[in-house]
Amino acid sequence: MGTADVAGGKMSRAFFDSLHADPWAQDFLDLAALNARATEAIEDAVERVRSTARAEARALRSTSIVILGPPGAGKTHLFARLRRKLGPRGAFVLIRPLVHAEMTPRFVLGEIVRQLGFAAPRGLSQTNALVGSLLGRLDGVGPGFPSALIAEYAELPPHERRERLQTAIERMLATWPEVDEGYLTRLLEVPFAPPATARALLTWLSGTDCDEDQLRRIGASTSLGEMRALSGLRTLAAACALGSPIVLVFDQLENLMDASGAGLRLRAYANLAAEYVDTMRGSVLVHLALDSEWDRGIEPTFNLAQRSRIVMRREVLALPKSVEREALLKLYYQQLRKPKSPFPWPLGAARVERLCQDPGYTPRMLLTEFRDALDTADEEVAALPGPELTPTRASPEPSAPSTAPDSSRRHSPDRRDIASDWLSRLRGARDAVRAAGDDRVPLHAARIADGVLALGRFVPGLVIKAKAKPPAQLSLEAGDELERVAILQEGSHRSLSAVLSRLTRLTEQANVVVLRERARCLPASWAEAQTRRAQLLATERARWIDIDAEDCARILALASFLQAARSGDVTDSRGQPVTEPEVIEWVEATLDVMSWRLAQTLVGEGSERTLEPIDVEERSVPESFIGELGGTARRELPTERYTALPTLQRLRVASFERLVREVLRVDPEATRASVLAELDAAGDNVRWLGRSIVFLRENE
Amino acid sequence: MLQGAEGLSNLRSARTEKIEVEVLASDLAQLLSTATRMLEPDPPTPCPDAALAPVLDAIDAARDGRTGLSFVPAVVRRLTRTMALSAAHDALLTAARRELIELRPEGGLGRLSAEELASCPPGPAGTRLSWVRRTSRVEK
Repeated sequence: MGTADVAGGKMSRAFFDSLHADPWAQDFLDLAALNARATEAIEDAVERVRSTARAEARALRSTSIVILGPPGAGKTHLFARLRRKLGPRGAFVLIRPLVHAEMTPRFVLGEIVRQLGFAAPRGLSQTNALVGSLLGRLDGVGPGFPSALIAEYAELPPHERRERLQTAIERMLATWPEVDEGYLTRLLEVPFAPPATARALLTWLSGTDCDEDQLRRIGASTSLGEMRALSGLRTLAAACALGSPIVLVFDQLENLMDASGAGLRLRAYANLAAEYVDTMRGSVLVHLALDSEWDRGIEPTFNLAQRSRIVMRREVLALPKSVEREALLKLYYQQLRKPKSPFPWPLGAARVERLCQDPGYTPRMLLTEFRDALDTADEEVAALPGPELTPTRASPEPSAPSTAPDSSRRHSPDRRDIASDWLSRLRGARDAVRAAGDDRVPLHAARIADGVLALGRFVPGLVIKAKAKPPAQLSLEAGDELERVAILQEGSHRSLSAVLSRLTRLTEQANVVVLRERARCLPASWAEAQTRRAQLLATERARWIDIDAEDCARILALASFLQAARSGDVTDSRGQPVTEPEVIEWVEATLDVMSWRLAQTLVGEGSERTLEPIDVEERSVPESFIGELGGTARRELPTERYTALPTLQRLRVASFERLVREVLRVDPEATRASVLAELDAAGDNVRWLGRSIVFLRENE
Repeated sequence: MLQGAEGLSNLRSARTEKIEVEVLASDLAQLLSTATRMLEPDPPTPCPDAALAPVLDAIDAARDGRTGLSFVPAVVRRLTRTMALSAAHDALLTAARRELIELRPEGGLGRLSAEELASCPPGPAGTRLSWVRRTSRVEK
């Protein structure tokens, strides 16, 4: 596949390959005229909060805006644009809702605090920006120079800084006596604490269970906990409102719609959002969803009270008009450092005309067309004899447009590129799991629950439901057996011991399965927790499963993959959206979820009560990525099957000849040419050493 | 028109010539006829906006007050009372190309029935254009 060098690109080729906006991107293309109304709506809401904070802080209320559009219209891009535009004037948080588990205030608090650690567009972390803005407001110099305030406070001797922080806290309490003083104190300490202490403070502020070392480091006796999460959330929102208001964006809300149409998740979401609007000061809530789904499936489930709080304003994103489309295409062209010809290369005049005139084009579709034209031009360069020849012709023009747009031709989904999407999500999830381990922050139990539920969809004979009361989160049915599943990510031995006691009592009514990250295995010093665990297992009605990092990454990636599929955000190599059923079919045919270690354990394969860890050697070669695809429990493979990438995933590094042999074992109809074509289509995801050794980029 | 103007100019020249020049009645009649035709208004031609008026009316009638969007199958149902399905699609696509309306691709979760799918014009990348709204420029 062509690279930026081949095409003479100014930006990396990844820019043209990334069809989906990265909400946290620092550098991205933007056409200001697009979606200007929606941008202004959110910008105005933030400015209103800031001016109310200036004039009459007690009068601050939250606002709520609904932004709707089809896939690829720029909903996520809007988030990135606003972050860049508003800079530290807003604290931006993007939450993709839990699909199966209910979102609690503690979950929302956790997501907000986690993302406050991300860098704001002007370099300052969002936490420092909000603390600096707040101190500026409380000191009477205004919130406009957060960096200067942080620097000023940082230079003070510790005792003097403590005094000034205390004065700021008193001023805040004078305005809002109901804020949680302890929470506010720890929030204001974050920018001035050493890195390890700052991490511990953020862990505590997020409502996550802290371990003993973290508690000791920040001088706390207990974690924030579920009960105090709401007051923490209120305090955080109020603190932000005075300096840098929270812009809380809920994305991909269509994922909350359940197949039964009962709307339970949606109603729970509406309750949470309405309560947030009622009780949090000065936040701006933004709800992003597919227009068609909001209208037919989401808003109708809200009652009038919820609707009046959530839909204070509604904006439907417009598709780009003809002149805007041309401007976008020119913008893409301008990213090429050494274009072979003037615009409209590489598209050609007729294709540009069609793209600007035919109805229904979203920015994502235009980017796809541009990328495809670039690919075609690259291929032509490669095909030309002699290195000195420079092509000047544009890519082949499609046939003359008819009444229906030419581009309406539907191609069958390209499974190769779905594999690329999957691998990219898997890489992201592995990074997230690794980073959480490095920061000693447990993965959120609700996200793991989402992943386990996603896994359950692909394991025949296993029914996992999100119906359980605490301390369990899920119920698991295999045959006639019913078990309660508890995901224990507690970081302190006290809270873990308490939950284990409750689970032991629960075994009197039902069998119990405990899931916990292996990375958070119980240290020997947790004597009480070890004892309680032993008591639980001694009931012989409980199983303990340590989830390996790789399985954690897999289930998180799977949940994210399915969520993106529902939102129309999975596309094939041609940029065509791949439907949710097509993605599910691909997962069933390719990933062999049933062979994942966690799936095998959940269905009860193996009699051990605790699972032995996968050693490094074994983990480096996943036991079976595709397994026996033709097994009796599997569905028939579709005619178009692609097996080289999953096989390479399993082998990690292999000679091309070995890869062909392995592929033939699972797909007797494969050929050397088909394997090569599949590797070729994966582009940059596949790397070669010389001409015979091949490996996936993720294994570099 | 050029011919008529040239004739009138010749006639004016003839009148100002010092030598006597005869003007034929037939030439004069022909010139008058040309001039008369030039002064007549253009024959009525179908106004494109007028041709698309039923489309805009159908979109308004099916409009959801909350989102401002109209469901294309509902619009097409109205239009096909007086025209064929293909003509309805043509009219919608023409109006969209003139940016009187915005046709939007279906992004939903397979909610459309086969009948509804058939009544939506095809869009780019294999999509169906299932939603429409009038652009702000012409919105009532």
